[in-house]
Amino acid sequence: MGALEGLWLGLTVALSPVNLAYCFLGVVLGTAVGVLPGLGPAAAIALLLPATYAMPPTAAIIMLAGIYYGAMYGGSTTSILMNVPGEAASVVTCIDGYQMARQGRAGAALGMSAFASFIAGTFGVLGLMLIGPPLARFALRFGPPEYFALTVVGLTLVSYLGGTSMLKGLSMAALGLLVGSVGIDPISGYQRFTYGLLTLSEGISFVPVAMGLFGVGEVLASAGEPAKREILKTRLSGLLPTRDDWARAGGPLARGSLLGFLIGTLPGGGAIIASFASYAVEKRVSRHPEKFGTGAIEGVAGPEAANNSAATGAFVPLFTLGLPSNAATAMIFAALLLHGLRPGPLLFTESPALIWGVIASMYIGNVMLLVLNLPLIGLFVQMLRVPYPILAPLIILFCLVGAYSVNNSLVDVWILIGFGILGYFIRRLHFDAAPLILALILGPIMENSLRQSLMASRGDFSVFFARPISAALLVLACVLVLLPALRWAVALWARQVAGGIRPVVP
Amino acid sequence: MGAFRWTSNRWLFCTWLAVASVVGLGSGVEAQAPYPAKPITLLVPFGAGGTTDLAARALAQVIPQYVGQPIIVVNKPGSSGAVAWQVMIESPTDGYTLMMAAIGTHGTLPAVNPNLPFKHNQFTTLGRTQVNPTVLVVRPDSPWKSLKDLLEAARKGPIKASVPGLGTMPHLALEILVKTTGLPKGSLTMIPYKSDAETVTALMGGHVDVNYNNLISAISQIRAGQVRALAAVSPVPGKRLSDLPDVPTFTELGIPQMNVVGWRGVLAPPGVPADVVDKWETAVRKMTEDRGWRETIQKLGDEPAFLGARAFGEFVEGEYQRYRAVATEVGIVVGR
Repeated sequence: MGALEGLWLGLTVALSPVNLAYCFLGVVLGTAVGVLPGLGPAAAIALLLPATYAMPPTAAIIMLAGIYYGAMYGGSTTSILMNVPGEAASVVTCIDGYQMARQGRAGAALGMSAFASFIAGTFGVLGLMLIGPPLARFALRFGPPEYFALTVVGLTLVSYLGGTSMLKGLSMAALGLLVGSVGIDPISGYQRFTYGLLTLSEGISFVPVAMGLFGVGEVLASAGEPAKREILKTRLSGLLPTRDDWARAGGPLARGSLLGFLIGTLPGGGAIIASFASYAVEKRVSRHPEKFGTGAIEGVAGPEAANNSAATGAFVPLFTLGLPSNAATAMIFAALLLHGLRPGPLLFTESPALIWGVIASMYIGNVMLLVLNLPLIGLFVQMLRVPYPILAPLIILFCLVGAYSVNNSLVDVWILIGFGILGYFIRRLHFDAAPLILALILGPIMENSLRQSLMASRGDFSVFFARPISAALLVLACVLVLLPALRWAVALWARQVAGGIRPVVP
Repeated sequence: MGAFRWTSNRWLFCTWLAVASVVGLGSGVEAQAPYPAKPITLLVPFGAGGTTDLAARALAQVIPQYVGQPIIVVNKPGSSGAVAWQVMIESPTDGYTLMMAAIGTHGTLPAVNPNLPFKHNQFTTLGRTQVNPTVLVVRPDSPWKSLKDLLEAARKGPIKASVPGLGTMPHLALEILVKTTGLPKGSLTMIPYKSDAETVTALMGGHVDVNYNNLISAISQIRAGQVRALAAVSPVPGKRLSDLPDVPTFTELGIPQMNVVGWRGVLAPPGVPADVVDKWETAVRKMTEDRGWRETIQKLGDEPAFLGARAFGEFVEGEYQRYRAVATEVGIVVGR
């Protein structure tokens, strides 16, 4: 069945009143899950799964998928308003989104985030529909050496994430790698930095660290500053992105959508990495990289596009190969099983109405999310009118509950508090938290894939250069590292030439 | 207007009356009613949405009609299940805190981790609920058409296998295969991945040569011809898997030691009263005969396989010993 034929069939399924209603319910729940810090889409889908037993399979999957991509819309809300990432994939949005809010441009940031999510979400569904199967087969070629090379590229991006000081950025990244190495070594089984604590043996989870560094750290730092909130200056006209915003966001939107979709389709990729990659790329290509971190709309548009298309991209391996690549798609895999379906390549021929119905519902769901989220912006911005002495403790409370709810673990609460205090000092001493977060995500993947590669090659390092994808990525990493040095050398040379010429001119 | 006015004192009186009656009722029930008198907490040693979590939620939907109280599923993930185990053995032995156990938490984990703060038999078994079949798969273009071909190739030089983590059931099972077929140590290079799905993905991408997995994680790919099954483990002795009638079982192939399946069941802290054990043993048996429950877990790739409290206890001990033996011999230690 061709894509257009399939889409037509899908639309007839998805537009039935029952399926429309469940699609709406799914995206509303997804938005809520996204706004609530801690509670992620995977956990939300798991909790709702038993409730779908009695529903028709198509309606159930439409609703659960809606929760997943809907969460990507809601996740940016608290990032922008309170510097608390509502979703793991919205951590990067904190950097510039929150600065925009502090300048009284919360509405523009929220609006751009909603539009970026819509554009990228729709782009992702188009990609899933048109080039899903060949892309999924290509993504399978990403084995351990390719992931290792990809994480090397990722870590070189650290230099673009930090603020002004390279040294500070690198030291935060080193700290992130250290935090990422806590837990039982996955290959040899040795304990590392667990201090005999059972709860640390699976490592330090990412969510409390991110919420602590950004959310709690920000509250603590603001508590010591004189209150000067610009929010009251925000007028209704400031609720949407301006024409200038749109002009600047065009490139980031396009690049973020594409990058996010490609990273999302990788079996080990994900929305978090996609959003970081997009941010770094935008800062790299921007003519004003110094504006990043001070409220650049590009830093909101790119990552918000990337995390949404990555979420949709994760459906590519699930639907075409039957391989879930993250916790949320694993839940949808389980939901398909529970409804008596075997997710995999045969799903398209065995249950075309279901699979195309779900794909078509994603177009509809994205429209619903945009219509739903735009009016909410005004409401959310009103929240900033709450006096900070009242809002701040509420943010802390949100973070505490959110951190606990991820694993029902008190240890996670202590991790949140510990990293909150670290976040305070990071702000006070003008460090940046983003390189720490990126290194924490990439470090374990990098270590695992390096060791998996070497186990498979029996210790032969040439495996990284013998395979085309990994070789290309490693070359790219070298270029990224050497480029600033090269530029500096060129500038020095140019100055010397200029300096050499000067005496000749009278 | 009226003779009766709601003064603040009367409000207070009524409130206290209400509180007292609720508290009184509650304590009355606690003291007199037979077990179970209140909802029962079932700990899941993994995060929401894993296979053990889904099994626990399937149980929590059906078993209340046989136990007589609702079941509250609480996820306590961490440390491959050790965190939940710790919570369970520290809970009161009144039968209101139980645990959904699995091969990973009570078979392989204590066999490979000598540093657990508790013993491998520190719990009370209530009943086994289900098992799940497993399968050995290779790529469709692989030159190995049978298990024999694969073993011969492994004898000549190491071949790569993807396993979902150090010391997991597929890892230990493949080591049992190496040992029982007399292959030299290390003929299979075990490359640890993070999940069942990742190990199939690695096989399909050509990054490893063979994968041993739960049937449910590979069945769609087998049916679509993206991977090929060489051998399977059936939970019913002497019968092939109904999903794979053309695939021989390990027992047929002369390797009955490879008859390893995944399993799940319900456990309690050590020393729960006998009436709790009886109640749950009966309830689990009735549940495994329940058509709705059977259908649900079969969709998730499991097979109903009831064992009573005592038989389940012996079964878990046997599982521990089997995996402990192979882990010791090969030197697989997690958490040293």
